[in-house]
Amino acid sequence: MIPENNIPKSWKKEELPHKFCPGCGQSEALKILGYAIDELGIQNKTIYASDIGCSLLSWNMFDVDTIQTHHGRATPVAVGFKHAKPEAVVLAFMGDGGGYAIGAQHLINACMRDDKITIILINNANYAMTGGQMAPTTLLEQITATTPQGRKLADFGLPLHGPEMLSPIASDNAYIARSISNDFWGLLTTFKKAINNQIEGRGFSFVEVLSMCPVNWKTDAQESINFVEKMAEIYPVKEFKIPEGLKC
Amino acid sequence: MLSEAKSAPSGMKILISGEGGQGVQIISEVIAKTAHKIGKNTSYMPQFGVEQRGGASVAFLQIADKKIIYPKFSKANIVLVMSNRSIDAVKQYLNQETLFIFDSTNIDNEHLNQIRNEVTKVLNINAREWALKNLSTKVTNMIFLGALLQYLPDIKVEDIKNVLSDKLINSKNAELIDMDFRAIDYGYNIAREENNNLNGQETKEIENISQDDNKTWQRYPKFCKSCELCIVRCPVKALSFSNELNYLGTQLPQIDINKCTACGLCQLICPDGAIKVTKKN
Ligand code: SF4
Ligand code: SF4
Repeated sequence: MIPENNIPKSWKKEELPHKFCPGCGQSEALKILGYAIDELGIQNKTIYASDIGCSLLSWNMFDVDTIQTHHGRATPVAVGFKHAKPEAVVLAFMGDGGGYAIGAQHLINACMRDDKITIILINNANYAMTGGQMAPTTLLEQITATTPQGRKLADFGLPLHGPEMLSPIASDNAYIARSISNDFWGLLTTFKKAINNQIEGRGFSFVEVLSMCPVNWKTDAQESINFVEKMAEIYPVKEFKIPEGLKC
Repeated sequence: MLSEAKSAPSGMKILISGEGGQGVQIISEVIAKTAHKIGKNTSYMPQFGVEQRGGASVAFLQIADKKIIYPKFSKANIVLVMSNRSIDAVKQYLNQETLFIFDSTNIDNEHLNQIRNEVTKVLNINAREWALKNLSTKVTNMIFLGALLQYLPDIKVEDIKNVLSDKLINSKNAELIDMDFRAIDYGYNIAREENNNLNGQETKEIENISQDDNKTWQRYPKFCKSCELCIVRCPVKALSFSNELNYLGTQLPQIDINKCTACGLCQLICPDGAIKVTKKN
């Protein structure tokens, strides 16, 4: 069923148009997150923590309690909030720079501690807000502002695979998945599972979303779709850990 | 009005504002470089919001014979706005002496109302409509550049074109340079015909654009950013760009309702929530 509204009820309508660039995959993902919040009926108990980077452009997107955190610190702030108010549904939203570089330690430790929060991480293969520099997730040979000849294995190693890194250290209560912003229904289901895992009090939930960045990739609509699909060949879209008994 | 603006004794203070991506910084940079080349004292300072992306993009530009002490200023001789939201960013720099340049095909009356009592000198240009009809909305900023030159008598249109072609020398698109030049000429000429009518567009949030017995397809010009995703992803190729403009002054999608199967994909994937598809029973 197509949702009745073209804009999720949990979005702040008066703040539209939102701040993301034309064709940004993050805004697609956040729209789907909005529908997930609507469907689960959790708008009044959701706490949304956003990181620094393009992810912060979502600070006025949702009509829910929102915290703007510092570089890479969306995870620990979300964990702190969850401890203070366990009945809240705490979402931490960040990019690949925030989650896999400057905030990687928090991500790993939250996963090891099995903190009962839901982390959503956007992977668009570059540092987008600052002008498209190389990120941990930049593909080999991908040209960015700081790798004009392409990312070289000898210099920078392999692109970081987040869910693959977290799965071995996660508990059996964790839900860990990778999805893609273009796939409305797939991503909606993934978000709902990741949030339900927290609501049911089970454990850590993590979703990486492959996402388009047309402005920094310098691609038009079709080329952006092609590139994100190429990313999906390198970063497989699947569920890495599903706890037993998780509702969808 | 023209002569007054031209003879500002302490040099020209120009403030240009638009959405990120509308080309505010390019035209400011080209004017600054040209002014420097002809021996003027010049300062150009870009300013973005707290974030680099997503806010109004503002440029402070000064051209003077005297030394320029500080790159910012409190009131501008000329304020040029390219989008509705940028009016918020420039409001405080207006006074009764400021020449306010805007595009009547792109700015809403609702936003103009905020400054209606503050400005007396106005230049109203139909930049986007003309660009869309004759060249491409990509070169709208060049029309504004041309219009500004009318108020900077020391800078010749030819000087500007030389600096611009140096800048674009590596551009893959030779056609673009030609379009830029034509847009500059148009802007320069249109600014001579004074049009000081402070009227913009009426705000339309939703357009009930198309329907038949089985379905309705609506679009939201206030939200659409012309990303083209709906157009490339529609499985039956029912969507294409139209000649109507959204709030950024770029093209809105339009529908061929006979082809549309009301699958709803465009509504689902539009990152800005700018489409609504309804099936009727
Ligand atoms: S997907 Fe939405 S924002 Fe993009 S062109 Fe279509 S209607 Fe406009
Ligand atoms: S509803 Fe489906 S068929 Fe109709 S325009 Fe949208 S994507 Fe195309």
